[in-house]
Amino acid sequence: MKYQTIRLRVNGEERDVAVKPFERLNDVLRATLLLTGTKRGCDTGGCGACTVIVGGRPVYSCMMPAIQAEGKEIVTIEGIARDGKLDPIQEAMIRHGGIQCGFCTPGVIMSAKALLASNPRPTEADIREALAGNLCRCTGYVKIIEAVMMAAEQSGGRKAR
Amino acid sequence: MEKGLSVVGKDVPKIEAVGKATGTLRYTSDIFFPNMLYAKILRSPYAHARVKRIDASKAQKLQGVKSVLTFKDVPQEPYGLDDLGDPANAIRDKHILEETARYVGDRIAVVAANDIETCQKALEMIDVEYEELPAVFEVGEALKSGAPRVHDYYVMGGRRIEPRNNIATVTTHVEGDVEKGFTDSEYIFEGEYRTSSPQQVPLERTVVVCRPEADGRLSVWSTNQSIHGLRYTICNLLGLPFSKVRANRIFIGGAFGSYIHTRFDEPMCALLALKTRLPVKLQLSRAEVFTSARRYPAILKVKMGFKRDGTLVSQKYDVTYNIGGYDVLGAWVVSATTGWTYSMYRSPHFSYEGRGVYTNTPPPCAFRGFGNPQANFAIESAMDQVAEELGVDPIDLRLKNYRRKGDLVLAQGPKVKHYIESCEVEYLLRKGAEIIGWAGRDGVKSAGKIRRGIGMARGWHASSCSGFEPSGIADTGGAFIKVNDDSTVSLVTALADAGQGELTALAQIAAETLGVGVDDVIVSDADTDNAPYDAVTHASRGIYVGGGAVKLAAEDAKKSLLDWAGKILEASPEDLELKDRRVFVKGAPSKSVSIAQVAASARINNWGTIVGKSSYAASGFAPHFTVKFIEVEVNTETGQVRVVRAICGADVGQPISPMGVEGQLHGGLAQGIGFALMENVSFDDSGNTTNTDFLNYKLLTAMEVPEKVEVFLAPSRERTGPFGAKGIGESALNDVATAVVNAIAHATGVRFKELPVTAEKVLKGLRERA
Repeated sequence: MKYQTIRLRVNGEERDVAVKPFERLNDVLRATLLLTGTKRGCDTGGCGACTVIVGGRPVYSCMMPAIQAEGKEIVTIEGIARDGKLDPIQEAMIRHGGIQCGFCTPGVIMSAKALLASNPRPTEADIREALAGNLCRCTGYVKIIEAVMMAAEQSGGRKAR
Repeated sequence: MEKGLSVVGKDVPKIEAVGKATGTLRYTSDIFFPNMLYAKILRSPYAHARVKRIDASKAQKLQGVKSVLTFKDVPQEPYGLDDLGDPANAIRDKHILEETARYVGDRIAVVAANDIETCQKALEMIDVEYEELPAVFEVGEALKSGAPRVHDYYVMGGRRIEPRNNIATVTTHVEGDVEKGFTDSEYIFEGEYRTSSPQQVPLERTVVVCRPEADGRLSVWSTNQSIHGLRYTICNLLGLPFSKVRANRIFIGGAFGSYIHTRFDEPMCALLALKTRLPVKLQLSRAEVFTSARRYPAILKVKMGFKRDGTLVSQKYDVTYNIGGYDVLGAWVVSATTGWTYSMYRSPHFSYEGRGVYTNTPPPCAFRGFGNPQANFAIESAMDQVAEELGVDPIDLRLKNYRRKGDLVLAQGPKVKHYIESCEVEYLLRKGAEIIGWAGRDGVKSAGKIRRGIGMARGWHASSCSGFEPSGIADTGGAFIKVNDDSTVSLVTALADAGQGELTALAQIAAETLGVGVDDVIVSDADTDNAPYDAVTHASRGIYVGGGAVKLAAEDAKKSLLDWAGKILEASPEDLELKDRRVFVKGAPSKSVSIAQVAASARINNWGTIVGKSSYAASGFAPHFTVKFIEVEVNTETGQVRVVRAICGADVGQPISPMGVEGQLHGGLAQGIGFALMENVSFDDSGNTTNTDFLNYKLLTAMEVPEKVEVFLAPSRERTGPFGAKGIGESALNDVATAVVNAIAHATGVRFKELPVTAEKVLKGLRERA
């Protein structure tokens, strides 16, 4: 199989990686760059555990060929804490019990992160819709939705409703 | 609830939450080793077929392939899972790889290669000639005389047993005389209920990694709820001494019962690693996950006899489980349903007969509730209908008959016995009724396109597998504790954490006992080399048994701590107490010494190290109780049901982490609504699973969970539990589906007796009623 070297920009760092023609971004992140914070729960874009932000939008990294991400800013769960300070969404998920097994957590946080970047004051319905592509089997979503509300309130500076 | 607690009973973030929120915590699927091989299983395309010929030579020669195993290369003695009970009772009907496939997806061969793509190619190069055999999928068909035989025989206790009519296992339990009871009754109810087979859907796919070590041993990481069970099964199957395998605890990305047993893939992966002398990772695809675990589907026949005033006189249950192609935990679930039926309601006459029937479908296994959600659906649906027919309030009927304080209850089999001590069922029923407005529930009903209704159900589960007599089920836990020089506490336990917060709760229990903060407790990595035995993190026993063991070990350490603090403070150990990382003389708050200083003095003076150990088995199973009150909207045009409000009440004794209990109830609610309305692994006429991805298998998303979810906990304390605690994991789910279906009955007047209640069934039911 022919490999091709591409340059990816991941969490602000330039990384040169050799990829197979249709290699999934998820495999490059996890197996090549060992950024295993991004999970893989299926192969068909059905669970959202692999969600990362590419060019500002949440994408299923299991469905995106790595070459398509070339030249775009890729942000993974490892890249959202700044200077050792957790992102407000991470903080709220931890404190509010939005995390159980934690396997959906990175994908959920990335979806929520993309939501709050484009809509800092979401309603509960907005949050539910933004998270509709992220399956969680442990929490029944209740505390996840509440945690994202709390994070929005905290970063938005006013009560979201 | 217990007074004066400083760590137990408080909401604390999970000890590993930062690792999970930042993506730094590693799961088994995140393990990558240099030179690691990947493995993939060749699966039968037929539901029942014998391999006439298999030739793997071409696959063997493919570049990058390191090993190919077929059924010829694995131990030929059939095995049964026997780590938790008497091995003489295990149904030995399976091998690591099979010559005869008994379901579509059954394991014929396995390949290890440098990468997954090479594995895939190699699988295609294995030449197999199958002889197709007649197959049977439904228990009704399987039980008929002359039906295809899924197994000609199995081995039990060294004897060859030929199952008649595909019946692998039977459990019966009788008290009194049910027929006399029915004669004495003034009202008889009979009903037949059918439950479906949802998949557990852990978000992390099933995975195992095995690595041969330089010293000749094998390290294993796996999505498995018991490191000791994993070691036991791998070693017994492969004929290795226990010393050769180190099974490591690792956080699991969801389990819900799928991993209480050691699976087929774990010994397979171990064998490949031993053969190739290289690390091997075997991870199932999501489609494979769907065909490798699911809830046991059941047909439950109920007959109940009552007096006119609602007093239950006689109960008869006949339960048939479809156990699929192999007995994974079929005999166990059949046995356990004795307790799930017996322990809900009192009656002088009771009988249970359960059976497990082989079919050519993928074998189910444990799934949260382990037969209890199935039993609950039959019993609590029946009670609702009985109340209606007798003109009694459904809550009053339950209050009249429920098993309560002082009553005998059974759990995972007729031998698992317990007398109820803590029981707040009445509180739960009355409080739940008050919150939802039960008395005025007919007021929510509407006649238009959208019909509203309110329903309820109650449930329970055991908090362990122990009884006051030997139950025959391994249920022991244990712990090691060490107090460090800085007053931190190291804790070793074999218990698994699949997200329920087990390890955090155990850290809270250790901290409370030793007067330190939860942040002071280091839960060490654990493996089968360093951790005392624990049976398995299942049966909602983690806190009740595992926490009991941790409390004992911490109390053991506390003895030395107080003895040595007494030397420093010149006081008797009985006069000392622990608080805020210090040892105080009771009643003299100015006289104290830090735990750190005691530990340091003990080191310098050669008094010793502050350590504690325990090995602990509970003397009962302390039932925990729940209620669900559910409000639904039924769309009479589309048949769609929406749960709009849910009240979840629970008697868990003293909650160790109330936030954790809430999380369990929320998660159980969502899984239970899925069980009620949409989830079911289904098959076509050839036995192919038809829904093996998330397009075709629907579960609740953030869009469908009810907008209003309320949780309340009963003030309760269990004498036999650590700090008064009981379990919660399973009863969080057990009664949910029944409450939803009872609410649909209230809204529409139609009683659905088969799960899931899909939109199609609702429309059909409404049509038939009209």
